[in-house]
Amino acid sequence: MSEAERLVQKLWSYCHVLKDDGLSYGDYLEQLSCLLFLKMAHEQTLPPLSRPSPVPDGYDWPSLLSKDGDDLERHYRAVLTQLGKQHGLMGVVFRKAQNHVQDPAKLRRLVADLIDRENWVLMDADLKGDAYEGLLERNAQDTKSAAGQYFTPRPLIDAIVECMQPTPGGTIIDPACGTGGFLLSAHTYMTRKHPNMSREEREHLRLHGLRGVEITQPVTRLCAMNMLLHGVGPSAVELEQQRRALLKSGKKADDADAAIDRMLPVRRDDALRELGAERFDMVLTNPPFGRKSSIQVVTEEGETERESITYEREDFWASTSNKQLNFVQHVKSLLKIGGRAAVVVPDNVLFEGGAGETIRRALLRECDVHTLLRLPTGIFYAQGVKANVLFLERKPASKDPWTKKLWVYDLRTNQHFTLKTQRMERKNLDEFVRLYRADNRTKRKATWSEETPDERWRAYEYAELIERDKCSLDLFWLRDNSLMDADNLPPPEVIAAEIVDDLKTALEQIEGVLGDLSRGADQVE
Amino acid sequence: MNWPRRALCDVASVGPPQPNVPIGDHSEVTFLPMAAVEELNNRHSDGETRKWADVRSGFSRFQNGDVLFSKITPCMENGKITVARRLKNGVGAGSTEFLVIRPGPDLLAEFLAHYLLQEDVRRAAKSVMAGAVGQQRVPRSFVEQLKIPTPPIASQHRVVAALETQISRLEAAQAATLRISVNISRARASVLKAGVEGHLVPLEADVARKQRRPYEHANVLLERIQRQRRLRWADAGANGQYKEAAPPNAAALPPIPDGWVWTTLEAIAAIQGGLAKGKKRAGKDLVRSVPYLRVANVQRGSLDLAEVKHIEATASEIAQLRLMPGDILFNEGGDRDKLGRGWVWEGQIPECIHQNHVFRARIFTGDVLPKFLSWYANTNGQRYFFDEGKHTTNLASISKAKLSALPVPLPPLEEQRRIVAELEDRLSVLAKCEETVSRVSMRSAGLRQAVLKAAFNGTLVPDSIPTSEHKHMQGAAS
Repeated sequence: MSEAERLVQKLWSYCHVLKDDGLSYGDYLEQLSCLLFLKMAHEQTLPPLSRPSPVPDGYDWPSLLSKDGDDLERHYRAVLTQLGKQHGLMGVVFRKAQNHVQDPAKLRRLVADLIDRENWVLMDADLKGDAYEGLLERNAQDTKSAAGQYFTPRPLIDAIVECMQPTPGGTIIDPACGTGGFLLSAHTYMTRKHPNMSREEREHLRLHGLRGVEITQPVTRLCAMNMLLHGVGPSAVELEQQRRALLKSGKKADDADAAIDRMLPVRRDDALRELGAERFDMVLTNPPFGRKSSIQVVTEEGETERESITYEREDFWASTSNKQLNFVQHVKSLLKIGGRAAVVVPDNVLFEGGAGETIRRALLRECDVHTLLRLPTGIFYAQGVKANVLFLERKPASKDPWTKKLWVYDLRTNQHFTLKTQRMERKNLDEFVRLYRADNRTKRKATWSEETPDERWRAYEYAELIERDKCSLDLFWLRDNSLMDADNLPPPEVIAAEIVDDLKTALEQIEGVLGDLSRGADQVE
Repeated sequence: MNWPRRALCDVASVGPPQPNVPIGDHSEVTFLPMAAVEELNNRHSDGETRKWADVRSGFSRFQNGDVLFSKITPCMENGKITVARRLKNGVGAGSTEFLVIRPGPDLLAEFLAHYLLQEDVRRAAKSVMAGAVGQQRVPRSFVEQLKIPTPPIASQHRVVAALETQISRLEAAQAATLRISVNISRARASVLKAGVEGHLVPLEADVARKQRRPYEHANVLLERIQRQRRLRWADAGANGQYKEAAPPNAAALPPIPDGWVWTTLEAIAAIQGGLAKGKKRAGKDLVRSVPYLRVANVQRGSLDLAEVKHIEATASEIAQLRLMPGDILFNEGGDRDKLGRGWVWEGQIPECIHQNHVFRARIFTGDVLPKFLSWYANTNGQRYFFDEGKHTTNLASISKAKLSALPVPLPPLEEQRRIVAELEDRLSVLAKCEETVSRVSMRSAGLRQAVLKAAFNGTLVPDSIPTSEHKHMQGAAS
């Protein structure tokens, strides 16, 4: 078996051993991330690289390797705590990390057998990157954790990146980056499509081209490691060199730390909180579905509750508690003029009235919203999700609306996918990517016509769109066979799955209404 | 929320005679008959296009932004109230039952339309309706004097925006609920089909193979039933030759799973027609009144015993036609979709017989589960009834001979038991789901009213208003 396969086997086998001890994939990933980081930082201090270590004395890899039994367990916990206080990449990886491995013997095996035996820095980035990604995907599948909501299916991400065609030299941001899927796919796309990049372009791509914001710490950790293993962003050793250089040049310690933090490709934050000054060439993102924010707020009574927050932002067109609508507004603001975005949004963004209508009308006017991909159900780990991808380009101020035509591809009607037996694959998106005509959108041709009413690609004029009730972009024209065809009954499981999807839709909508009604009632009291 | 309340006539023009918009005789306008206005949705269809000269007298006249209030029963109660929008050349004409209300500068049309759609308001309007029976109308004075809340325009915008957010969600939920109802029916049909075709539970043949034991093929079952059939014929003391039931032409029939066998209804059951109403009898026959089943009582997969009539029958007729638990009922005809439908009698009513349009089949032994047979007849059997039935316009019927020849697939007995148990389980779950969905639908309608109420109480919208939103709303409104 190849090196790659051997490594992946090894990583998996340790995972299964620890699973018997009660560790979830998420826990395993956490331990793995911390230990890998330490080992890699250590490898870089050895000849020929011989860099200064970013890890404080006494907390480095050799210090772990030299211990055993309860000593090891104690020291490991101390390392996690101490390094969690640091800045830079180390801080991101270690903040709030915990030891989940109860059995010190198993911890010793992780350290000495799994991690210590390999040379990770020299290992091919694709190899370790893919292995880590494999674990991330398994983690997302674990329905007991909520990890699925941070994972966008890879075939979808790759298809979107292929349509968007990012180029080196530009900047891409994902303000809800999760484990970094979009950013890394863009990175892979660019390195493959432009194999003859200059050294400057390569360095720009590595250090400045990709930025991510993620709201929860554990997921930020996974994203940081994912990027590090793929060779994106500065290593901890590089950052340490930078930090020392800044201190030497007279900068204060706090300022140096802040400067280091800004160099990281991913940071933990609530992207909607503040727009910031930076603008980007491209935004690729899948904002989290669902109404509730993950922020727990302590109320005046000292109780914690989860708030659905309304953000007060000058650049927003409308004030709403709908998180996805807010992300759409945020994405547009993040773009440079001429910048382009692909955003995964649930159906509500397309049809909700009130603030939703205001936002859609403004978006169609101020941007060229040129493509809408209606996604099938059964592809996300969050069940029953009805989602779409909106593609748009930000334009300069103008008195005339910028959207001329919205092209819609319906990949939802009469499509049945599941997470286990009928997974969506990249080839299911081939027709869309081909018709998208990234090379020249003016050459697009509709496949739908009056004579061919069952085709999936058609265009709507701006005038048609704004005439629609609430300017709804919830556009369908295909007949839903499942609701019509009495003779060709699908098997019971397929129908049952559709019932579940609709029940979830109905539930989500009504919970949305309930949420706003309760908040209103609370405020009156 | 303490919004000032004012009479509608103070903030709007009730029943303005003409549109304010200049319109020429030859210009095209939108014509909206009553049917064009939706119920409770604050929406109307595009209607028809007409020349202004043709509709400017004899109909109501209105323009974009007017609120149309249907004053006649039952349209008002049904909520046919809407803002007029997207009219051709900005002008429309329509049903004389529309009371046209033109909001003044202090009132938003959408705000007014939602207000009037509230149940309380419509109920109050109903209570003052006047006129001849069937022609009851809401008097104009009610509408003119109606006190409505009149917050500042900016607040009205916010109320309307909040309402539209919630209403669009409720409509999406309702659409999903309708789809669920349709899908529950289809799920029923799908699971029944799977059950009677042998795709629902493991085959007895497969289970036996895995457990390395023999099993009883349905052929053996059939043999047993044939023996019993022969015995009963002999016992009945009939004359002449015993006729074996002819097997069906299996080659012409769809394939069946391992262990199953094709047979006919008459091979496994005694089929009996019912009592003709108004049967002529000799004067001396003693009759008494007994309950009986009609076509209306026999539904597809269930019995409707809400209304059971009585008929006079002789003692021997009752003895012959009395239904026993396990009897399978079939409708002889009626509408095409009633043909052959039926269900199993479970002894709900003592001494109940059936009329001649209802057949009963009594299985010779316990080797065929009545529910399996009935479910088969109601699903895959339908094709046979349709093909073999006699069709006249709107009516269809099937003869006893044809019914007897109904091809029936027989699974091994153990497998029948598993199928019936599984189907009962699944169908009860679906029935429960259907109930829940109905309740949800009704509650959602109630929720929409609650949302309206909250909107006009001022509890739906937060108080603070960011300046950027105000600016954009003004832009959107123009």
